[in-house]
Amino acid sequence: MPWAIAAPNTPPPPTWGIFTPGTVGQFFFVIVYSAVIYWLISRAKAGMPVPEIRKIAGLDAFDEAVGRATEMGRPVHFTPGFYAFSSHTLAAFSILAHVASLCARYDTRLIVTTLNATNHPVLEEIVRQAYLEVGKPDSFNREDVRYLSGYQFAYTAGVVGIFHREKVAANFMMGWFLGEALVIAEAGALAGAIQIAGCPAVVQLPYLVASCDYALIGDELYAASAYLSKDPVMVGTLIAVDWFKMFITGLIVIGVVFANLGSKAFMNFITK
Amino acid sequence: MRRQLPVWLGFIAGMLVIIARYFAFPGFTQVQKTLDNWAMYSGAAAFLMGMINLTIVHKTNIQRRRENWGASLVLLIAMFGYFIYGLFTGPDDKLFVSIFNATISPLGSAMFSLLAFYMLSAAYRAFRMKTLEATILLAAGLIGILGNAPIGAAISPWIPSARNWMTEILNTAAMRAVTIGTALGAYAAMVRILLGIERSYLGGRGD
Repeated sequence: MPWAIAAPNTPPPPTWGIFTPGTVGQFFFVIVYSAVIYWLISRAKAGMPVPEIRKIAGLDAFDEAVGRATEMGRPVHFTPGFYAFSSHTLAAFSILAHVASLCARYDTRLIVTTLNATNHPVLEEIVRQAYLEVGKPDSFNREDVRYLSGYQFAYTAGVVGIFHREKVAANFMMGWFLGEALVIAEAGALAGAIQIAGCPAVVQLPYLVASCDYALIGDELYAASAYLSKDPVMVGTLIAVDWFKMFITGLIVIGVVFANLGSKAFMNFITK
Repeated sequence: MRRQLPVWLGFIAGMLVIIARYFAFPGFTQVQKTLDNWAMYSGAAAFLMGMINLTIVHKTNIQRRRENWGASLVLLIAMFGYFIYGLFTGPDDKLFVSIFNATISPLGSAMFSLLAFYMLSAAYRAFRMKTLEATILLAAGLIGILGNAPIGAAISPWIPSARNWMTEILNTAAMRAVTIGTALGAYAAMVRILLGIERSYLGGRGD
C-alpha cells in the first residue's frame, strides 16, 4: 500500500537500561584503553622508565627538510589538510608548532595555507607563538599564513601557484586529504621540494607514498607531537597504542577461531 | 589562565560528547547537537576572517606592485563583487547561481582532470626498480593494470584472479590494519589533549 503512512521509527531500547545500543563493547574497550594510557602517563610522571619506541623516518626527516630549505634560501610550505578541528587537524596543528619553531630558529620563511577558514586564526596563532618563543617576533609575517579558498580545487590551484612562484624547498602535508593530495604532492615534486606527508585516509596513502619522500602512515601522524617532544609522559601514550594493536590482533585471532567453530558468541559480545 | 581555559573547555566539551555517544540519556544528545551547532556557527563566522585574510594579502600585493599584482586585483574585484551582489539578491538568484556554476565547476573539473597525468608521473617515479619495495610495487601495479584491462585476461586467466586476490585480500587486510592503528593513535592523541598533556595545538610548545 504505497499510500499508507509509515509507522514512526522508534529507537531501540537502551542496552542494560543506560547504554546506546551497539556501543557496550566499544565502551568497555575505551575504558580499558583509557585506563592503560592513564597508567602509562602516571608511570612516566612518577619518573619510572618508559619503553623505547621505534624510529619513525618521516619524523626524523623534519630537521633535514627545514635545513635543506634554509641552505637553499627557499621557503617551507605547510598545509593542515582538508577539514577543520578533527583529530587529524589537531595532530597537524601540533606538528606545525614544531615546524614553525624550526623555521623561526633557522630564519627560514614558512608559508602555511589552508582551505578551511576556521583553521586560519589557529594556524596564525601557532606560527606567531613559535616566532615569539624563539625570540624573533618581528620575523613573523602574517601574510604567510594564508586562507586561499574554501573550494577544494581552487585551494589546490592556489597551492600549486605558490609552489611555482615561491620555489618552495620543503613541503609538509599533514592531515586529511582528498583528491587534491596527489595534485599538491606532484606539484611539490615538480618544484623540487623535499616532501613529508602524513594522512590517516587510507585511500590517499598510496598516492602520498608514491609521490612524497617520506610518508607518515596511519597512527604515525598522531604520534608525531609526542615523538618530536621526546617527553616521557607523551611517549608513554604511544606505548599504549602499540600494546593495543597487539591486543586487537589477539581479538581478531579469537574472532576467527569462534567464526570457524560456527559460534557467534564472541561477535555478539563485541557488537552488543 | 589563557592556557588553562581552552584546556578546561576542551575537556568538558570532549567528555560531554563521549558520554552522549555511549549513554542513552536524551539530555546529553541535545547537548551534543547544540555543541555541533556552535561548531557550525563558528565555522560560518570564520569565513569572514578568511575574507579579511585574503583582502590583506592581496591588497598588499597591489600596493607594493608585486609580481602578478593584476591577478590580485581581479581576485578582489571578483570576490567583493560577487559577495555584494549575493547580499542584495540572495543565494537563489539565477545569475548568482549561474556565475558560480559557470566558473567554479569547470575550473574544478579542469584541476581534477590533472590527476590522471599526475598519477602517471607519480607511478613513473615510484615504479623505478631502485629497491626491493619499489620492485614489488611495480609488479603489483602491473598486475593491477593488466587485471583491469581486457588484455590481462587474454594473456592469462591467472592475471585477473591475482588482481582480485591482491585487492580483496592483501589490500583489504592492509587497509584495515592501518585503519585500526589510526583509530588507536587518534584516541591516544585525544586523551593527551583532553587531559591537557598535549597543548602544542594552542601555539608554541604549549607550556
